[in-house]
Amino acid sequence: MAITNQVPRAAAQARPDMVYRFSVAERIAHWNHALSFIVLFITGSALVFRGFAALLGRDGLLAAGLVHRVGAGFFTVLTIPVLVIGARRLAGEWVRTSFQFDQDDRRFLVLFARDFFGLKVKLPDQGRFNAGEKINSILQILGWPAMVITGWMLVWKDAFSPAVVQWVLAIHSFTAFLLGAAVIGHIYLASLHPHARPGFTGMTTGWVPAWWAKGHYRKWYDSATGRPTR
Amino acid sequence: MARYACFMDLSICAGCESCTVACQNKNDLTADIAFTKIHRYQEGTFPNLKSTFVPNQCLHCDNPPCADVCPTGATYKTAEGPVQVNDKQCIGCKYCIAACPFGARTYDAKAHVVKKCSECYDRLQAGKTPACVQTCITGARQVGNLDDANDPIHKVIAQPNTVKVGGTNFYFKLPEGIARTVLPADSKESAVTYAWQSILQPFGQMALGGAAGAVLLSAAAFVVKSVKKEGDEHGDH
Repeated sequence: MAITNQVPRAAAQARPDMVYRFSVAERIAHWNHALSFIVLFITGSALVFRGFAALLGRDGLLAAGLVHRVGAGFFTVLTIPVLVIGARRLAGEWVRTSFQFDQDDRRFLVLFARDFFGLKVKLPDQGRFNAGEKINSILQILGWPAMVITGWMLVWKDAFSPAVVQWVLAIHSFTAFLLGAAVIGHIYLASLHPHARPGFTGMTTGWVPAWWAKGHYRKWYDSATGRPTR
Repeated sequence: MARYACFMDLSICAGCESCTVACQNKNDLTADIAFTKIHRYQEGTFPNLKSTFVPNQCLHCDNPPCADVCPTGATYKTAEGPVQVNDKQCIGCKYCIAACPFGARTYDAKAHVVKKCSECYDRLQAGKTPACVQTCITGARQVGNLDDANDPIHKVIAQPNTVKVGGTNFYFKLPEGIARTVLPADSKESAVTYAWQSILQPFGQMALGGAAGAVLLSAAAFVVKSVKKEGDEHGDH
């Protein structure tokens, strides 16, 4: 079955040059996850990079710690209920397909570096999410519980032995590094990269230009619009 | 410059805990916080008992893991040996409590600061002995300068049955028949510290730096491309 979003037929007919890509629930979940992560990443960095810690000073670090806990609340609590209530089928498909890499996906990963650096390349047809986004998705899907569990363990670190706390801290910091690396790439691609940024509106209005969707997610575009292009 | 060493003769320690109290007085601590605690160790069954007192406190590691994990630099190792905590920089994150191999750190909830024995660094610098040494009624505790060849500490630590806790500047003279195992284990880098410092942190930083570098390179490539394209368009006119 095609992974399409529920959008009124009239709305779709009124905008033939656009394709509806992300539902309201997906967008709310994305922005909750994204904004809370950015807050957590910046405030958490203060405890990893000494120069940043020195810049903030003791009061600044204590405030950063407080903001980190508030951000952690949003990061922990909101994303999954929003997806379960508002986009269960789409979220389920996203999780399932994120771990499936077909031949086109594997070729995409090999060739994507050329596209990333602006070199000419013909990328293979992709589904609703390309192989790079799948890797980012895997990192988020596995990284979210890792960060949440270790993070709240650190809040209540007195309940655990010193050896456990040391490992928990190492896992929390290392996972944050990996997620931070993925997020830097994701933000750049989504907001600045000339080939990818036309899709940014997908996460604001839900709609993306049809020409762009056709070029980047051909397999999804064909099934979502019912307009096979080949 | 001095290089301080501490010595404790457990064969004459009376377990009176006057060192604990002197330290609490000197550091203005409440009764529930002690930087040096004295535990009684006993083995065998009556009447064949062996017993000694063993302190639990900061041993001022040569490479203190508490300082390694401190995110603000509040905990630091001095050139003379004593490991210090700057209360004004400590944010009470307790990472040092988890890292300390001797369980020697205490969280002061009221001040939201993690505290520990400073080896009375201020007194040492003023030419005095630490409060615990000064008050010790049997003379079990001593401190000295290893860099001073005439310091009596050299004679003291050369006594038989004296053990140095590896990776620290602490020496203990054990009572006869008491094994080394009653003392704190040598201060060594833990597996997690090794994993973090040698693998996880460098790899994580490489991933983060690599991503940032790739983004900058890509952005630069597109800027060059667009400047070149503009130049070509102007050339066409």
